Amino acid sequence: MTVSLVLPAHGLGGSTDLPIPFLYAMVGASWALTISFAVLALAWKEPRFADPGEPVAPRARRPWIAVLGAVLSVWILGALFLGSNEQNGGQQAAYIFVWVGLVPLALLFGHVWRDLSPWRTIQSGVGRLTARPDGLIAYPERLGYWPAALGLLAFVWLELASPDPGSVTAMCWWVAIYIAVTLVGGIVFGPTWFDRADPFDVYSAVVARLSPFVEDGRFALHNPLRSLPSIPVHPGLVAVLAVLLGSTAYDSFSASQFWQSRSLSDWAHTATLVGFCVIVGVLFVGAAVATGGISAEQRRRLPGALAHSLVPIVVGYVFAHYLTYLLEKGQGALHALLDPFAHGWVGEPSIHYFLSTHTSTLAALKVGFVVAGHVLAVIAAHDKALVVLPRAHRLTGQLAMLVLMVVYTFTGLFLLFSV
Amino acid sequence: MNKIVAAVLAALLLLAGCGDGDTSPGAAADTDQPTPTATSTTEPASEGVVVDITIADGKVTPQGDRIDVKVGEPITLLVTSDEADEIHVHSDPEHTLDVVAGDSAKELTFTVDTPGQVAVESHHLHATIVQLVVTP
Repeated sequence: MTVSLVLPAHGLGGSTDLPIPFLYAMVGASWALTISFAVLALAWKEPRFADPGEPVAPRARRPWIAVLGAVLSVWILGALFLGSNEQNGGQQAAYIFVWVGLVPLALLFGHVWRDLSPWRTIQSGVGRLTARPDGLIAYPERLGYWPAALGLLAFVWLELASPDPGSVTAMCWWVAIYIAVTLVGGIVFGPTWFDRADPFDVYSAVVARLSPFVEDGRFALHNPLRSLPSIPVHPGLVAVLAVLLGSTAYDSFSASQFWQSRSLSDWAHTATLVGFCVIVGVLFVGAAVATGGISAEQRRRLPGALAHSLVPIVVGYVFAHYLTYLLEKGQGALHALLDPFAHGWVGEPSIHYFLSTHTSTLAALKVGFVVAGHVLAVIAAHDKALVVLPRAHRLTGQLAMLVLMVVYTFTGLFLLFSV
Repeated sequence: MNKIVAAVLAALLLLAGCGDGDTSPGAAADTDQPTPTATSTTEPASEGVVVDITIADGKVTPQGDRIDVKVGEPITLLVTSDEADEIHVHSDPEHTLDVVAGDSAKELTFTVDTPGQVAVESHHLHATIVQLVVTP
């Protein structure tokens, strides 16, 4: 092959979506703004969803899903480490099926990642052999979700801002370190490590609370606004969501003409990526605590108490930004995965560009995802604010958060329109 | 609550309505893209689009420009460089042009058959030369 090493500026090459037309962005923005203030002014005055009730003990991991997870992991890792450096099926699967596919998987089937995770399977096996199923020492509570936030940041850095984002070797190193850290953490700290520190496990667990189909591991059609507030709050939850939202925004922004026309060092890219995540998180914390009439201790708890309301914004924007990536590039990734050593086992790939070729439908879908996520977020934040804010500050105390969500959504629509 | 549900449904219907209308090739709304910064390097050739690219002193010109093309329209890259480089066209499938140092321009002609944006990158400089905005 002479056409080798076609290294893209992002994890995977290929074309990207067209900008959405201006009219679509405007209609989406108008609806987001109108609905936001309608929620504030007209919606219920007593909380309806914010009482998650007693936490239900998670059901046991289903063995057949664990077996499926082990098979898929061996397959993807085998393709990654043993496959070629071009069109590597394992690398494509990691960026498309693991990173993006995780979101619809959690929305449709709940937190099945917990059952699929081969690292949990290995930990439970080791725990059984050593008669220490809960690990050797207790997970330090103050760490919270921070290790997961760092892991997510490390992954988006590899994909978007590392010196050579398309490099299969770099991903092999990343994955090897991830596996080592995850297994050691799991064996030392027990399953709590996966609940708090494994970036993909935490991402899936958080998104799964927005699933309308599965609740507490069981199929039960329900209002996702009711399960959303039950995300366990620990330090670093806002950071996890800020990395997810900030990095998706950076991915859009880094493809803008403004950014592409500049030659910047890898350090500048890394600093900008981190900056996007930090700004998203700091603004959220600032907006969450912007209310009167509460004690310092109550104020400290507010960002965590409202963090769940960021999840629909993250999910909406991930769908808007990565839908064609998942459904169209996913076909190529599946093909590469079925023929991991490029022996021609499954013939030539034929990819159906059913979204890209319908530009208007695609643009409407993208705006629809962003606005739907925004509306769910505003309702979730409003409902929780009724619980956590003192009666006299219920309306004014929500205002900063509402304005910030409108800012997030306008920024998202602006990026979809301008890049 | 009912008001909000109604508003959400209305919004979705409106967007869906927008979506069904103009999916035919050449829909006007899609070609009207934001501020397509005209590039002095793009000259309308007799057929298709020609992009003149110069790599000199570790810099590439143009860098980051948007170029509007149609699906199936031939695009020709004319590259003059003072150093060896690889030009990558991130379409599906991808194209590569090997560039050697010298006065004569290297040439690559291709078409893009799917709407979308296709980055043309200098591999050695890690820079996006132009981004092709491919509309139906």
